[in-house]
Amino acid sequence: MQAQRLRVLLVEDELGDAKLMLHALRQARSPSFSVFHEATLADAIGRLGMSAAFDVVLLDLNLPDSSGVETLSRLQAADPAVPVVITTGLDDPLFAEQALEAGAQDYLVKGDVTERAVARSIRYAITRKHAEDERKVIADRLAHSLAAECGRLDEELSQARTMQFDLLPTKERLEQCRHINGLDVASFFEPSSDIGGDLWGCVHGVNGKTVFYTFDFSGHGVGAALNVFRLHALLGELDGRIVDPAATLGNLNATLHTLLPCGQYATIFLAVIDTVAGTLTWAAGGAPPPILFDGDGRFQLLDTRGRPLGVSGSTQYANRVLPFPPRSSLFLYSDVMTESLVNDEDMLGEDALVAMVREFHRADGIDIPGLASRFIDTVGSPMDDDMTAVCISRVVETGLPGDIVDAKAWRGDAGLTTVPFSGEPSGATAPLILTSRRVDAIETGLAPPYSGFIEITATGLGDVGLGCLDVVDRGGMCLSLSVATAWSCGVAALLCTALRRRYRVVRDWNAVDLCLSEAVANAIVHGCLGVGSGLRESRSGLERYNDTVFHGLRDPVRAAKRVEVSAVCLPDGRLELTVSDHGNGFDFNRHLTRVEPLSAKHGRGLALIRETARSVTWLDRGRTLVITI
Amino acid sequence: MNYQFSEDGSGITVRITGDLNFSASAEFKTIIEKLATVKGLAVTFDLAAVGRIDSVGLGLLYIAKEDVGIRGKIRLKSPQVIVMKMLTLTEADNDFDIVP
Repeated sequence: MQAQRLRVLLVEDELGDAKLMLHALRQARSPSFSVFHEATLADAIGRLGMSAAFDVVLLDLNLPDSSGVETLSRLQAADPAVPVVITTGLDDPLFAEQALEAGAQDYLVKGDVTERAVARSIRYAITRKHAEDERKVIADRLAHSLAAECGRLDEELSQARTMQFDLLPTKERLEQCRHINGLDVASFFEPSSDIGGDLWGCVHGVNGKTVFYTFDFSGHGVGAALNVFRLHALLGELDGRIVDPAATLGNLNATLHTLLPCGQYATIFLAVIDTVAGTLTWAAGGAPPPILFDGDGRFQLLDTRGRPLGVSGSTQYANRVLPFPPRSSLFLYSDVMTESLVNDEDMLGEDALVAMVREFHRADGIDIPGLASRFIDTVGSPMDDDMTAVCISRVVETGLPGDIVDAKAWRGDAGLTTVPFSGEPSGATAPLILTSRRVDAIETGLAPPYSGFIEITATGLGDVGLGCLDVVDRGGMCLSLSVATAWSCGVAALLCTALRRRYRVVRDWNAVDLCLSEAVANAIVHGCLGVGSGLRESRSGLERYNDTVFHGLRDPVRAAKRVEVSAVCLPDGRLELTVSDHGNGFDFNRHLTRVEPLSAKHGRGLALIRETARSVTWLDRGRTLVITI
Repeated sequence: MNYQFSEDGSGITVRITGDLNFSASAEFKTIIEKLATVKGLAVTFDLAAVGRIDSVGLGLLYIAKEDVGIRGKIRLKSPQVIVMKMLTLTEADNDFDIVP
């Protein structure tokens, strides 16, 4: 086997030192060395450039054309791959340390040069250089991977921020709030540069109820954002069925307590605004206290004391209730709006925020863009956290946006020709109010001089029943609503009140009330929503029943189906009620043979109608029930 | 429909306001869930502020009665005339204690 022979470049200007070193190198046998000697740095660099690669350089730092650490730097710049052993006249550990820090692989003291010491130092330098190079390759790879990973994380954080935005209520949902429940919602949401744990939302419930919430998870970044998605999903599962905020928070807390690691929690404010009852009911867990304004600008901060979600599994929450009549406004905000520093000194604080919000309070709510702009101007640079500002105002409707159509003309050859509602006589002999926006105008449409109210649903007017128009043509009145509206507007009560005012000759109003209530309930639940009553047999069945009903109300196709009621007083004083739905029909003959026990929990509405009314008939495969009282 | 719970030494009172009808099932389920946690106490539904009741609402009262599980211990208090009419028509007055 051929002995290893290493190529050595000796850079030394002192001839005596060079001879000593050459002697030691030539004595060495394992490995042996081929030595090239240069006396200046320039010559050494020239040699490195033109010769085959050297295995090592023995370098004196003080040369005629360079001195100190610069000598090493220049040589390494010329050949970064070659290992370097510094030769020095000083046996100084500090110098050795400096040389090694500067990038040499080893050092030799000139006065202590032996064959073994030189060979050992060269071998060590070569080995160390190889190890350094390998480490550098690995480090470069890691740095590259890290940069790629950071880029990917940045991209994912950016996507997460976008997704967090997607969780906010859509424009359509906010329009629905105004359309159905007369709640105007204005908002400002500015996420932090990092992703945070804030979110607000609203869920359209039923029966005039709308749910609003704000929450803020502890911490920032991906963990907090994932928790936001987690709680949003839990709230989404409730699907607008939140009727008791305290009970809901109790359930959410129990769930989150099992899911969240210790130290993670969320402050929350959860409210139900009921525009039928005119109330604001809320429960909270340590959220910033919302500000409630009445129509005259008087305000109060809501009590939000309560344990944040996830802290303790057995937390009980309490409901608090205040009136929320028209012209009321509720301002929700995130803690950044009180905790941001003014002039990098003191926090803005609750009092200053309240003063600012009051300044932007208007008769129709709070000027949220103006407030947000003022806030940002005041604090200069808000602390790096999500900023939320939301105002929910109960709208005071004025006038009656909508159109008037003459039922006789619509039923006849003239087709659908409308004139805008003005409050003045329209000239129509059987005027109906048509609107897609103002279901609160039902009461007006049911009272003279109008002959009824027709909601323009998501599917338009093409499915309005001709039977309705026929009844109006006979001097009666009609009401045609989507099932979503009929579910929430107390349709039976509205109709009974209107009928009492219109047909004073009718005697048995209890019977009218009962028959209308039962027939409308059947048309909505069984007809349009297609939900059987058999589920309402027990508490667990009631839960499944509610799930099915609410799923139906959320289904745009089923929610747009019509429920139609018409009424006309017959010449003999009897009242003829016609209740129709756009469902799958009903087998009345089969029903007639069934006898429900008196204490049945379901399935006896039709029996009550039969028992109460003078006559009951059905048309259109059971979709239409004609009741005479 | 809205409700309010109160409790005294003799039992729980649930005061219902609004219509107890087909659209009240979600709220009523919450009432039943709350009642399930206080089994053993007499329950009174104060119906003075209930404007109307339909057969679905009546069925909900029967579910509550069954779920509370103490026959005869559910009381219906102060129903308005129109509500009383329904209770009488369906002979619910045989199944519940109705007090003025």
